[in-house]
Amino acid sequence: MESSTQESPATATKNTYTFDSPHPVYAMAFSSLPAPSPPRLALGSFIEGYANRVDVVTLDEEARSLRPEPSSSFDHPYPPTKLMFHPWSLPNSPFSLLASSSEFLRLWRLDSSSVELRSILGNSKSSEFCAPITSFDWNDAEPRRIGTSSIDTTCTVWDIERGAIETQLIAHDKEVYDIAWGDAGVFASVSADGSVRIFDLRDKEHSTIVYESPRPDTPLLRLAWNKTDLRYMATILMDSNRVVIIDIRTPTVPVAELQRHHASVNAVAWAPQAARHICSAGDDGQALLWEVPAAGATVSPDGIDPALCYTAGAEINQLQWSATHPDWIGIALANKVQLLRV
Amino acid sequence: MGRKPCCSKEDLNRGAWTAEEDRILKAYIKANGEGRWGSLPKKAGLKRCGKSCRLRWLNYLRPDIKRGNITSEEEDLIIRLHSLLGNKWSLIAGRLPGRTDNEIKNYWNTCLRKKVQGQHQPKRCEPSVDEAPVVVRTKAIRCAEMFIPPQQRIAQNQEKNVTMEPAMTGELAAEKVPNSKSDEHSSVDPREDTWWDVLVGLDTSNASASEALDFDFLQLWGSESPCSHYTRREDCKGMLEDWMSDATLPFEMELTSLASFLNSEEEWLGGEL
Repeated sequence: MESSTQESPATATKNTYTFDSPHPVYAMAFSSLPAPSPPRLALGSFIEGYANRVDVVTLDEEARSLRPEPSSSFDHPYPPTKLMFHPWSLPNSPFSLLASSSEFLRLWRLDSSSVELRSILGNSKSSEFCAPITSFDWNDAEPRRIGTSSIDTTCTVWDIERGAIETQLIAHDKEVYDIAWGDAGVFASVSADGSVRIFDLRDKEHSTIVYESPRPDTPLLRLAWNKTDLRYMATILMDSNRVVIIDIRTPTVPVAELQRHHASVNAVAWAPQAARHICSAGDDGQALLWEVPAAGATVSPDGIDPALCYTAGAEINQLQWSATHPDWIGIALANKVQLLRV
Repeated sequence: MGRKPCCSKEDLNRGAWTAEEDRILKAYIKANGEGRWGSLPKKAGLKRCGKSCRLRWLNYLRPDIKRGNITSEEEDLIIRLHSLLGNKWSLIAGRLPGRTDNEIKNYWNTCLRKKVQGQHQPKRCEPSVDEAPVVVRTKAIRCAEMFIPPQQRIAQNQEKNVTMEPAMTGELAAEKVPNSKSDEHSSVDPREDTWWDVLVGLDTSNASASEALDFDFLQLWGSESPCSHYTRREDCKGMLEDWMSDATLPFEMELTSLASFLNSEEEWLGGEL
């Protein structure tokens, strides 16, 4: 089930680790346990249908491999659209909290020997119908809050300690595909209607459109808000090879459009500690690391070139940059998960 | 309720199936195949409703199902799936080959339910009926139409913003070339094993980044907010000054090449700060 591919046996430090999963992997989350704990990943399967799984793997540098943790694997209904560990880690506690989204938001408690479903957060108190959740984000500053985005055009802010909805907003005109927190009470979302909107919980009735896709109704699929420099956001359009970088101080006009992928971009992630570094990956099998130029810097007419490039060999469906181990990036392609050292 | 009864005829056997009836049904289906449940009882000579025949076949008489003796692995699986799925017996049966949903339901209700009751059940968190969540409709405001409170500091920003914008559009205009140069890539691709080179010149300890973390979001929006009730606070002066200092970097070289672009973008600039 797992294998470690050693690209060059002579080198002492390995820079890429591969995990072969028995099923295709889509959702991926880095654990928030800081160093010296090794990087730990939760992987969600992508099997069409009800029966899916979440596996947890840990990097074992001594054994030079990504080791699965069988006691932390569990069944999951429907493919998880997103997985996320609790953003704060308590170093002395033996358990970790993992959230997953599919038709409901679920919280799982992983401890050293077992997995327990802590809570199911769902909207439908009466009806059998529930709107699938496309994505969610755990608020770093206020971890009681998780914001979810759904295909029913709403975004819901949950208070997970009470297990109740804090706010539910009709955020867009069409399905909402991604959501990201900026501050403790501010989040942004992207939708099939092609807009990036910022919401402030202090004024729930109004939102601000910060960017709209140039051709109307081109869906925006993903949003990444730079946690180090909250002025910058990145978004990707459907079936587009461009990564659009937005500065919210200068809305509607992007700061940069990074256009070096040969096929559609599937995922973006900002560097957790550097202010202007961003990584993107797509169907061309490449993961590109870019440095967004500072405000006012001159840019060549050909556009911005990536600083670094990794070729994976298959379409990359997911990219995550570890917040607690900023020298590791995880990518998911078909049945494989690779951990890349920056 | 919903449907009308399928057969209102009397003198039909109800309740437990006798061994003789089972034998007749099994033989008939072996000879004639499944299906046509409506006419089956008459043709087979059974005094049973077609519904009853079908259910008996599917849940009990089929050769490919296992009956009784739920193994401990199956029991574990049933418990796990029930905690995950609830009373969705057909879904659970989907995961246990050879077992029907009916059997699992009966097994659960008779044996397992008591066993599991002692264990912790996951909280199903749903809003209670009295406090139905109010779903807020939001109104989106585009940033092209901005309300500028008439304050002196804002007037200063206005000038600086106009000069800053063209630089941004300049970048955008310049990047409209959708070329992807693959030969440039080969110089960027490193060797397989040390694929990430050290980011030369990477300034990770970015002073402005740490300031950005501290700022209050409302302060940022104070000067540009479309909502008139966002008020600027005195303590955001420092932040705005830092922001403006970015804008004072030399843009002049960009401006001259963009004269034609600016003219065409009149509507956009007209609504600008």
